[in-house]
Amino acid sequence: MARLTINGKGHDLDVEGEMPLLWVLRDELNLTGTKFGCGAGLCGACTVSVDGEATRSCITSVESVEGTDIRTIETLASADTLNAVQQAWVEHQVPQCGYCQPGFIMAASALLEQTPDPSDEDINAALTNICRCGTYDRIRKAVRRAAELKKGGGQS
Amino acid sequence: MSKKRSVTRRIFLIGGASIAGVGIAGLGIGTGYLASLDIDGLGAQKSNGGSVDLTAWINVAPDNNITLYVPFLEMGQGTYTGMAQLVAEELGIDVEAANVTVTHPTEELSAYANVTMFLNRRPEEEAGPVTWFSQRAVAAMRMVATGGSTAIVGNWTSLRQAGATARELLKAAAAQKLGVPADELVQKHTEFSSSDGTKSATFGELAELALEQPPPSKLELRKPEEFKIIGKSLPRLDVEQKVRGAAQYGIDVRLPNMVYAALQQAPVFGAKIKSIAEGGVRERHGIIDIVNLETAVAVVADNTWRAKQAVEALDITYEWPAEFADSAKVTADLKRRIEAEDYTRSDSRRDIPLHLEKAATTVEAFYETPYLAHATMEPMNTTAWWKEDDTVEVWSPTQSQTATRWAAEAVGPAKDVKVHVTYAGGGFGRRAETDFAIYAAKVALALKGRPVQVVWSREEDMRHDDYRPGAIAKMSAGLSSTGKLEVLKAEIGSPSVFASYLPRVLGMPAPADQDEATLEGILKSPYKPAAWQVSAVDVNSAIPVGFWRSVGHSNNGFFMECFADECAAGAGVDPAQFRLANLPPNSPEAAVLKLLLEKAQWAGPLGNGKGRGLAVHTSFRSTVGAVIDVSVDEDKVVTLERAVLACDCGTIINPQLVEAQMQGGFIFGLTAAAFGEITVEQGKVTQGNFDEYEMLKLGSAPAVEVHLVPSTNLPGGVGEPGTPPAAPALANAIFAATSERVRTLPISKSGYSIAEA
Repeated sequence: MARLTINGKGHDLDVEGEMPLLWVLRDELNLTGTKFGCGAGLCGACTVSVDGEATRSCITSVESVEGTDIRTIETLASADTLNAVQQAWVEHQVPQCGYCQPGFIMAASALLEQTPDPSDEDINAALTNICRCGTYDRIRKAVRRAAELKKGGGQS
Repeated sequence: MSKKRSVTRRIFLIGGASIAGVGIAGLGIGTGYLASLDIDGLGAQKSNGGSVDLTAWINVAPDNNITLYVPFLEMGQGTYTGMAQLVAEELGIDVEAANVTVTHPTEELSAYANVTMFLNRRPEEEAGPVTWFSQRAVAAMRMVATGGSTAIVGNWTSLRQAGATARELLKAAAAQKLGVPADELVQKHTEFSSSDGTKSATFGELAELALEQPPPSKLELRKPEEFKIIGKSLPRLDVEQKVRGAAQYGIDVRLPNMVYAALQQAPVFGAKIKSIAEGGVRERHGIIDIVNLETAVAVVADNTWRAKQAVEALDITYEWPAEFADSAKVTADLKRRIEAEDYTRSDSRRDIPLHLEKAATTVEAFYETPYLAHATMEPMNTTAWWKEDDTVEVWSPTQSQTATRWAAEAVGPAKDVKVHVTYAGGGFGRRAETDFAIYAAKVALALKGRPVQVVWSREEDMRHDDYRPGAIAKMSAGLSSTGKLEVLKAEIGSPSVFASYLPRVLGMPAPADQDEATLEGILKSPYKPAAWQVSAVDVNSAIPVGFWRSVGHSNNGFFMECFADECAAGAGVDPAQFRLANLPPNSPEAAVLKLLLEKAQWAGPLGNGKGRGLAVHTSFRSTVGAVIDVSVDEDKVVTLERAVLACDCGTIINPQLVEAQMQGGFIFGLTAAAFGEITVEQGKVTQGNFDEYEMLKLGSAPAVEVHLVPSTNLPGGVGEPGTPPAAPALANAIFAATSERVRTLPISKSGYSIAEA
């Protein structure tokens, strides 16, 4: 048994302590916005926020995140308002297939919380995710735009 | 296999192999039946008890919700948006409005068959009786498939006609219902009203009445100068779902009572499962079943991770094939056959001898490319539900709904197989296969009554792909003293994609001749002088090969455009000048090149240790030129500084989507050129995950600037043409920086690595 706090809600789960968080989210809780890409922490499609840190959930065991505040892509937007990063992603029409984008958006959201005005180096270091559709150009522009939106008092 | 299906498969052979129309009469299908097929879907008016289909492409519900049917897989290329724009241009609706939805139809209508892809010709091309037969033969088979960058190309006219047809039917209904002459009606989005605004009716209120209207006798389509929606950078219709994490991919399907399965496939190509020692695995927490699939073992569990842990804990023994595949041996065999001139096929102008020896300058070069994996971000998966009454439902991110249905039907006594096509996390040709659907159907049959989602691990996905074939080329040229290409000889060696795909996926014989996919982009090269010869050699191997973004062009673009650079050097002229001197002056390649040279400031300054490389290539009816700037340090670390592309894809439906496809296709090609290599040793694929099959990332990928040539020509494809110029532009840039020719891909084989910023 494990007790996790996900998107502000407590869950008692009948899962092994070593089960990666990813599979709790996807298969136990049907939070399918967090994606499976590699299972080895290499691609970042499974990125979630753990206590505000971008974390690759496919290599993060359930037992290691008990008592933390876990946030997934599903919690970023309200019914009618996207967060600043999502807004910027729409403005720059970033997604193609879109499969990797929740991971990028989670990583970018965590980056901007910690570094509101990131340099190119900061962006490169924080966003080491893989996008097979090659949307990198637009991702970089969207991160910059999201930083502006946040500074301008947009949604956080 | 039902009798009906065996007929349709034979028809497909005619389409797929382009043996146009021959022997259709022998299949017992009358011309009357073929003539009756509604291949554009314009006549498919029907009421579905509430909602109304006005053509095969448009559905209107009583609550005024409009659904546009797009029978192509949305795998990132933006087909939902582009196709919707074609309909909306004539239907006069705002596709971004809340009451408009785009969906993949579950029905397989003849209008949805991808005739353009199978026959490799546009619907607008003049059709003689042979083409007429073959077009209808493919439509009769109702082969719904996505590939070959054909969605817009194949439906450019029919979708606009569909929009116009539905508009005219609705307008006639409005005239009748409102008592207002049709030409006095005013349309605003999905509503018609009288000019004074006193009377109005929505599409939803008019749909049933529209069914009773006579079909419009003549459709006047808008001319390019009248376009309101075509040519606009509309936002993607799927973008908000995708940034919310709400878009449902195949792997996100969740059904009541659904379970999950993980696979362990036989690790060697051609091997089979001999025995499975379960060793208590079945008793583990959450394990539901262990299924022997002949070439794989599936463990079914209540959670994907538990299934994967369990399948890895099984002790499986295998029955090995007589011979173990080896990628290096394939390359060696191809080389030997080229040296022996043991061609499978050779094309030339027989009346003009080659006489390479008489040329003022001769240039010869040998190139080699590796096998490549697709590595879609969403690993292979399919969800299948084999119900107790043998009806089957399948949810799959598939490039072929029809082949997926056939796959399920071949597994067992399936009735009424219904395939739901989901969003796909990339496709690139991988999802034109059916292995993922077959495994899912087999597990579902074993588990009858319960839906099951079979998800491949990244390693299974990487090691059991259908690979872009590795290829080799021996290129020879004779140049005049003024640098004119006078003789061109190309000898290409590659395993045949069609010879692998047709038997594997469609149960059909391999083509007798080396397929066009091996030669595309070189057989009809715009550089071809009067004296030319293009030959191909093939090697059979157990390594499965398939369609990979841009297919043969991904190899041949590299061969031809690197060789053009070598010829320029041989002639002692600038690579751009050489191309301009040797391309037909009115060719799209020459026009794209001129735009590119200007936008990329080809002649502009470059620092020390830097190089600028060029390539231009036509594929899938579009021409793309690329310039890339690199810097290379003493340790052969390459920084990809910037890339500039120019593209002529005919009429542009949505500029921002075209730009995205050009950027994406180019990065896809660059990634492969930088890192991509699949090797097979002792029958097994060496690489397993992204640490061994690397990708460009944000810090290493260059910014890609895209310039589009305005055009009113028929539209070309955009999903694939951005890929072929990437590798040659990079290799040519490295030469410009270092004076070393990189003739083997990936560039890492020559000691080059990519700088991460």
